Amino acid sequence: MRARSCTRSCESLEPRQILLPLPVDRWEGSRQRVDEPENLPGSCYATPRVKALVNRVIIMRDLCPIIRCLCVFSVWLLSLSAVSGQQIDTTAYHELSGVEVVEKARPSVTREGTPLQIMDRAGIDRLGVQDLSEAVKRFSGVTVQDYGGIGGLKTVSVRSLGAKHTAVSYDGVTITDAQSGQVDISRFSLDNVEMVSLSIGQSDDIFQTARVYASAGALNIQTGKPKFEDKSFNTYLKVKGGSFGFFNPVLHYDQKLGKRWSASLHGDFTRADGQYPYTLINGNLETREKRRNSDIRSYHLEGNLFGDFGKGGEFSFKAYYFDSERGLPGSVNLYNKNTSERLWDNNFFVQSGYKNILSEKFTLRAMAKYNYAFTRYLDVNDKYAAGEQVDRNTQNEYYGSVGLLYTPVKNVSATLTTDLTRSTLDNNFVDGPNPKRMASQSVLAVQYKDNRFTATGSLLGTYITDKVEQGEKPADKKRLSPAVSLSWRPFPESTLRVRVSYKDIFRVPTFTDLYYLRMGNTNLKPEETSQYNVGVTWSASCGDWLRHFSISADGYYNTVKDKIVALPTMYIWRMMNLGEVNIKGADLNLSAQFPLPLKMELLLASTYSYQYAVDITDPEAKNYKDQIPYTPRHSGTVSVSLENPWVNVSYILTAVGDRYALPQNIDQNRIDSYIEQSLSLNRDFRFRRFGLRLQGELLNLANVNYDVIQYYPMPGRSWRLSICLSY
Amino acid sequence: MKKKNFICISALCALMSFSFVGCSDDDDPIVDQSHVVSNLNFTDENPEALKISGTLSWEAPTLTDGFTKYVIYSSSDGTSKDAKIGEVAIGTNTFAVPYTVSLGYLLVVTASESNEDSAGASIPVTDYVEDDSVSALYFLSSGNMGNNNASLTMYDIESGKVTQDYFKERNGRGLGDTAQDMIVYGDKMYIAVYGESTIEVTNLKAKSIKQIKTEGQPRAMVADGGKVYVTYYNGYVARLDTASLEVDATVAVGRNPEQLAVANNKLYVANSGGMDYNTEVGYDKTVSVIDIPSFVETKKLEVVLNPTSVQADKQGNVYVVSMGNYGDILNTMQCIDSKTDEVSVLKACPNATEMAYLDGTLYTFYSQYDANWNTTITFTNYNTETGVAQEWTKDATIAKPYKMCATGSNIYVTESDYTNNGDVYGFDANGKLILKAEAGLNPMKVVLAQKDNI
Repeated sequence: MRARSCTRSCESLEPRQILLPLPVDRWEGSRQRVDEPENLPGSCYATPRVKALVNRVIIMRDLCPIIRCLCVFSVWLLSLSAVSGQQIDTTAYHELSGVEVVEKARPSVTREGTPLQIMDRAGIDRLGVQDLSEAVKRFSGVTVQDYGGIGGLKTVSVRSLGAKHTAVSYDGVTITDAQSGQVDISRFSLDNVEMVSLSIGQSDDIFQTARVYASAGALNIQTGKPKFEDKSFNTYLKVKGGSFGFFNPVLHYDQKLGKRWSASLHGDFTRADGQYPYTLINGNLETREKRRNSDIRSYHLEGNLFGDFGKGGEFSFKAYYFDSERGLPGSVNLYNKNTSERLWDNNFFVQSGYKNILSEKFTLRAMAKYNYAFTRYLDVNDKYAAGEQVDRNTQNEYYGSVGLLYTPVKNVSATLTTDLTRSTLDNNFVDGPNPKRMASQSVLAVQYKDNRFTATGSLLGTYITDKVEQGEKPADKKRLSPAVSLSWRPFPESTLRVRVSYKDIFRVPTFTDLYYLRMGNTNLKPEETSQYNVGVTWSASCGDWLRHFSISADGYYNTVKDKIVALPTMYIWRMMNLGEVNIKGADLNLSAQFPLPLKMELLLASTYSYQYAVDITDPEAKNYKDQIPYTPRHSGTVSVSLENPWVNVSYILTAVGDRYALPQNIDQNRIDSYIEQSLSLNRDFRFRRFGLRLQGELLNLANVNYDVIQYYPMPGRSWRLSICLSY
Repeated sequence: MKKKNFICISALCALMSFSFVGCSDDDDPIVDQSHVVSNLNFTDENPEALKISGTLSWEAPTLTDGFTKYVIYSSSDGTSKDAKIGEVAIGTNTFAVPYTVSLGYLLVVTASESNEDSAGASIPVTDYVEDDSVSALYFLSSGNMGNNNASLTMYDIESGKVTQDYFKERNGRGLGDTAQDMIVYGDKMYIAVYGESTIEVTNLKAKSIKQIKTEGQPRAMVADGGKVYVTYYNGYVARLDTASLEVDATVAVGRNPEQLAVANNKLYVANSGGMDYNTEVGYDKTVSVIDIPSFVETKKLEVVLNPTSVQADKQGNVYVVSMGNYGDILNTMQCIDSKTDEVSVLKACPNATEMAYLDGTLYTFYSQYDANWNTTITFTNYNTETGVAQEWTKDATIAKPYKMCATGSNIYVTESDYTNNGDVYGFDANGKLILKAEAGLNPMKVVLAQKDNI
């Protein structure tokens, strides 16, 4: 009964942070470079006839061998950015060398030892996705929990492991929320984002912060670094509007500051009434209702400073501010439509990164961040003595990371990175423990990589200690977490690759798990996951009619042990390490790109995910071997884009199978499958240095009434338009 | 369906017999059938004996020249126009028979403004009488907050058959979110649905009579003297009149009242203050005493922190379980003497989490937790007359007891793991297991509904 505000407030607050990503250097602009370094010289794919102008990336990811998945025809084409999928080889940092093709990218299947999926700027534009959750929904192996509406909480769970196992990083620095342990991705619009990628398991990029290693899956948001051509500044103004009172102006400005420095400023404002209609079904009764208390208003300001000193290294600095107020509409009740909860949040952070290639053999990188996050939750109701409940939470985080990359000989590299994080939480609860956490994470990783073979191994050491002002202090947590991956191209003449990986990781109990709202349990142990993945990837270009084709298929087996679950014990809920989940699944990604006459091009992308995720906690329980909540057995996406000189068109389909709202797989708990479709149109115009882009989307074309989370109805058919004027 | 067929056939037979009669009797004047309606159809929808209502339909006659309307009669033999029920214009071939006394037949006669056709068509009426005898246990399950899955399970005592989601089956709609309490009083049942701020009033077969929207979120109920008293979580007790089914008065009590009981013409209401457990105000720790005739709060008795459960015995003692703070203040069982309103901790049985009272015995269980929240459960019964408490031995082990109820002559313990549909165990006073059945998620209450068909 009481889980209410806390869960909600925890859910919705999260800080965000950013930093430079890993190999930051690798991605610039939408032109991606494919580094196909070692990639096969003679393979069909390397053949020079590929001349796509592609900037797209695909995401290929996992493998999936399992036969089952094969039968599944999941053709999803990720149209994500068009298919250009190429892998991103984030790993390339050290050998940047490779051939950099800028302008023509040839799609290649990923060489990653673990599944990686990417959506780049071109894909974002092509598909008309506006916020991060829409992009992530195009990936295979993920479940986005979407509470509906623009301000609704959205979290990402990778391969049924739960949202708290997914790290979200903003320009290389993970966004953390020690209180709730999960990140609400609804607040990230994609206007200034160059690329979104999702890696599952331990990615091949070994030169990352230790915190990125400390998650089962990592969602990376990479904002753009300004590029200047013939003038010393760039700017754009974008105005978006749409159904349900959605209005979102964006202003962006880049300035070159001499030879070495550049800066950018970005600001946007969003508001929406969120009063969308939906159909409520109650037995034989069907009523048309309107979502209430679903409004949002938010501001986002961001400034960046970049310095490039050549041999002196590269420097970046970011300041980020976000402020919002929103209604929390809550789940829909059948008869009682009162909702009175509101949430304010406020987040500020600064982060800075420095990287220097000291010598052929050594590269140094350092990062630092300070994060402040404040939330205020309000529920007005006369059942509280004060007539209202107000929860105020303030989190502070100080973070630093130093890493060294060592490349003793060609093909071999090693890194050692140490992160230190201090997190604190204060709130207005009586006798609150006000916990303070110090976490130290260090990772040692070694990689061998040649044309046909990549082997990566890493070991992450974690030490975490908490201090509390009230109550019991939990035991310190120490743990070593290994990960290994192999990727092998067995035939010199083919791009076919086989990959195998294993990762063992855990999540530490959040502050809420440990201390809060009566349900905290300081005896909690970390929740452990193991991931095993086997997959194949292949890409080809087959003559004039098929410019590019790629496929990846992965099968995996995951386990979650000591899962932290809330179990009520007589009126109060307690967090317990009482859960064990077995997950078997397969992910399939396909993409293809066909040239057409009249300078047209057809891009297809598709994903399919199979997740058999069952609760094996208690053989005596009625839900033994039942599918865990909100995890569809089958889901998939298809996107088709027609690029042409007139109006580019994309069609996107998302299909999600039946799910269960509660652990027991009985009819009363079932949520029906749905198919959601949308259409996006865009056209670019150029007048000298001015650019004009018009874009429109029609969402939920068929006006399907569906829930992702039970009784959090999703909007029906709606539209969005945007105009972007750039100079 | 069967009934319909039967009625159709009887109607056809009746018609045929008429025509047969008509044809055979050559001496009688020949009845012109061309203005007579045919194929009458009627199904009684009124559950009461001897009373009928429903829709009567027919097919238009071959000729209607000169006629403007059909007149519908109640008839004792199929031809006599004993009582006119109504009329409809020609062109309309149905008639909604209002609530009326059944004479055996319904007769339709074609008529003009001034006269009626000599012949009519009739249909024998089969009086539908609902069998309102009930012998059922109902399990009310609160469901999970936010999932609108409060549900009622019906356990048919005769057959042992269990029907899940019975309220929805009967009414075509759900109870909604988080049901808290249910009582049977007279020939009605009352279900308090906290999340919806409603009280669903049904007959003993769970057919909805009224959905009452309440001013506060209802928690618990008790009935006395033709009234149902309901606690509202925003600090009130409402008095619901069981005849008008309207709330006729409310009285302010303490914060977040939970259960209440009647003793000595007084209501004892547990004020938990549960919504303020983490604010400066903290839990409430009072029991409000309301004088029933004047319906005013006369005093507040101080008890251990966070009282929730209240039960009265027949000697006029009121037992109150305070849940404490789930920390250093334990679940505590207290007794209030309703004559003096003195509160004391029940020494023979000082700790309890849930309780149920049946025939002089208070049945309780107490859940204790160790540091890892492992649970130890102790079942105790306390003889309210002798003051002796002893372990309650019973046939079945219940690992995760949730609630306890007494109804009829048995004790019911519900079990829930908060994840799956729970189970209900029924025991007789000797602890013998008499039933085990599945309920919905988080079974809160078991009630017995019994009525013989007279």
